[in-house]
Amino acid sequence: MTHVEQEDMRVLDALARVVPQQAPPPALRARVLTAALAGAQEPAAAAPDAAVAPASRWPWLLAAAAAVLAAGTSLGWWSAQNEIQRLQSTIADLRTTATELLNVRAESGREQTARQRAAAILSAPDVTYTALAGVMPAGTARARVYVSPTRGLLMAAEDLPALPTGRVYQLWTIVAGQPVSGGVFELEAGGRAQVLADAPPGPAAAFAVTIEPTGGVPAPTGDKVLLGIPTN
Amino acid sequence: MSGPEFQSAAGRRADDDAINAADLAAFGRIAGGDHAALADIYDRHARGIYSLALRIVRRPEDAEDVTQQVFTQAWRTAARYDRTRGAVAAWLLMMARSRAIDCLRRRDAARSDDANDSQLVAIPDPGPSVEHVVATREQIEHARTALNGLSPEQRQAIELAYYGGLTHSEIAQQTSTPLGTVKTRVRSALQTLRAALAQTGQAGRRP
Repeated sequence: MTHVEQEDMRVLDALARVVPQQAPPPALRARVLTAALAGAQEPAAAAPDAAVAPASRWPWLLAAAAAVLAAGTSLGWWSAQNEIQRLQSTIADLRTTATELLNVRAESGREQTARQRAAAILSAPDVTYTALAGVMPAGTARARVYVSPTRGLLMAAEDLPALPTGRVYQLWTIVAGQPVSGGVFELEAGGRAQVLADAPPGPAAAFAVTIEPTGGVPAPTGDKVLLGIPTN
Repeated sequence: MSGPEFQSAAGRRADDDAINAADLAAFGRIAGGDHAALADIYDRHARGIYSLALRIVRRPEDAEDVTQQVFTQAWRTAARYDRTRGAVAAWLLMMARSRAIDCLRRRDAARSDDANDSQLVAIPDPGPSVEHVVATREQIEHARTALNGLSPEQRQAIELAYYGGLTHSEIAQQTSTPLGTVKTRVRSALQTLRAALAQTGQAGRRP
């Protein structure tokens, strides 16, 4: 069979559906929707992928945030399941936070100020954190952003892909509909990165990391690699 | 697996048509940037997509990645979806199979080079001129019965071809069977399934 005839299409569809049916894990829904919405859409007409004005490149973040929130509130009984999952992942995250706190404390030497600042943020009474998930093709990348409105912002990322020369990562917080840069950064060994920045000027609707030209840009223009929506 | 069915075949067909109308409407909204519409598609089809991906890749984490890729592509290309090509549900499952088989190929570096030539795969994806049609629930049941009625060799051949994405030569190698025999088994298994689906008298239906 070198090509599929029309009548075979129905056979193939039946083969696709006779498999044992199994519900995907509840947490997959938010992950899939967040990742999908973070991707650009192709226009109906085949337009060349010309340069797009920077200002039009970031509203996906807000849109993604809105969609995930909207989806989350309209789920009825299902959301209880989700809440359990969320609490379980909160516990896991808190364990990681404790480990990171110990690592930060254990680290020695030249970066003492940064270390102290990171420790101050992590131990702040008003600190909240948000998990960031990798956006394809950086699907395995992940990060946590810790924000203490009084002490600042700390992001710890893992498994970020190496960048070509002339490109850096840039962290963004969306506040009141505007992207606020958290600064540019490069990778440490093993695809890790840590970023310290001032606390955003208001409640964050979303956090993201994009790939930008060296030196950074005033508003995101490049590919998204990490995206996270605060849960509360 | 399905419970007692009280609906008539015509009623179920109407369900499929209603689902496709809702899917096409959702795709229209997705094209306009409506994110809730993607959630709508997810709620209707994620189970089927995830189940098919899991059957092919076997590992839940890979099945989750495949599901994510399917929805990312649906979001990205919804505006370009050709409505005259028929059922969104069938298209989503076709994409899921295709991504899942890609995942298998990446995992299994030992596969022969010709496995990367999609033209050689024993059961390739339908070409661009083929309309996406869904099998009705009744047809799926007929297909299940027909699969169970195949000889073990035929069944193995069609499973390796469809869920394994193998080429005829790979199936021949894996089952230590002459190539010609493999081709015959796959072809006759497909013919049996086609005949089983035609039993319902709906084989000519287009959504």
